Amino acid sequence: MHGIYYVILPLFAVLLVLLTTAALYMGVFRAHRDGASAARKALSGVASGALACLAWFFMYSHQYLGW
Amino acid sequence: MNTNSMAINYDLNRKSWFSSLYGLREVLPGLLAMFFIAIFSNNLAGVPNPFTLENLFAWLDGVIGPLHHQSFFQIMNSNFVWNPLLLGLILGNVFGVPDCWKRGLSYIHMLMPLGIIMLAPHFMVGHAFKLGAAPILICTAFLFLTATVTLWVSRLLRLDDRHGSIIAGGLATGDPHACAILMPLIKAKGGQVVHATACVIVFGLIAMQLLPVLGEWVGIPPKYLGLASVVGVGNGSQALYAAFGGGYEAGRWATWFDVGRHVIMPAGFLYVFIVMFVRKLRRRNDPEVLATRGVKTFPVWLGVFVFLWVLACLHVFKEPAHHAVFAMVKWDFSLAAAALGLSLSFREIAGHGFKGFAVTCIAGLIRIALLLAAILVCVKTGLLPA
Repeated sequence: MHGIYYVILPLFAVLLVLLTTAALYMGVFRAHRDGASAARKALSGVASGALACLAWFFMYSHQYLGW
Repeated sequence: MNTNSMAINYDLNRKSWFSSLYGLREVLPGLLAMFFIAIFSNNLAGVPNPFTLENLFAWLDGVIGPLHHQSFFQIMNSNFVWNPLLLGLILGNVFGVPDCWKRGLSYIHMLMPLGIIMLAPHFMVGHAFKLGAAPILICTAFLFLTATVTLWVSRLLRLDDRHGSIIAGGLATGDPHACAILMPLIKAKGGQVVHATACVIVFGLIAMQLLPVLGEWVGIPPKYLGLASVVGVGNGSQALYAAFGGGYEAGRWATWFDVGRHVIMPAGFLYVFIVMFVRKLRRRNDPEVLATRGVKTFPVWLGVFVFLWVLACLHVFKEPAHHAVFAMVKWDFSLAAAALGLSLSFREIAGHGFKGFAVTCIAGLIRIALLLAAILVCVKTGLLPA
């Protein structure tokens, strides 16, 4: 890994985590609905973020892009 | 709200020309669906996800073992377009597609032309010069001949002209990708494109069994059985299966000749588009002419593709750039094919019936007969040295 990839690949990892968080937040926790309470929105946000980080941590740990 | 009041509201609320775009909240669900289907279908650049359909097929190929030196799923034409299409098709048909996904899925109309433009550096004509004049001429002549014969047979059998054009593109170029590439040019329906792709692949399966037997029967030498497989069967691994079916030497020669078919592929789909576009311009008021119906002028993005293809042929794009751009093409077509798969039902695809397959078989068999005759004449006259 060299050059521009030091910038692109970490940014891409952030994008993967954000997209997974959004998918879990809307698809699994259904917290994006107008009827959902603020507490549910906040908790769902934290939970989906944590799950996304966990999933990608393991994916990144087992291949050539990993640390 | 009717269309008029929507237009008035839009005029009152718009702030800049960006206001005409959908908001992020409206498109996000559809974009996420495309994204996750894409990363679970193909090994895409930058994504460390090992649980992909591509890896599953590769593992199953290892279990099945090689068939005439080819992997089973490669023979079935599994690739970066086919995998997400299949996954999207299964998910969409089994679980249904929520309405909130549909705005995001409409991005397919931007992704397809963008992907085609980015494909340009993939086809360097210079790579085929090593073959010599006669094989290049055979590849080129049969590309145009197959496209013309297929369009003619589809008219004869009164097949929908959009469906016929897509089959012509796929069969002539010897690559079912071309069916997807022609979709935005011909303005074909998604069901017609998937049906045409299936026709080309299934006919390829028949042709790859038939060609080595016919080639041996008419007495084509192994070297040119390789050329005959590449031009007469196409579809990558199907051509190699046919050639290795004729013997190891023919198979090795097929890998040598395959580049001749590959580099002129854009000429095939450009030819089909231009023929159908000119036909539509000549018969503007004919209700039977449906192909390229929504295309009013020559598309600017296609002009950009042709321009970039010329630059590629002049070796303006260096090899690392070509590989980086192709990684982007894989991303682009994976997203687009996922959207296409999600938006189709099995019934819509099967509804196009048997006629398309009949057109593919007739045109494909005419091509094989003429090709074997042409190669035999060239070998006897010494145009193709043994």
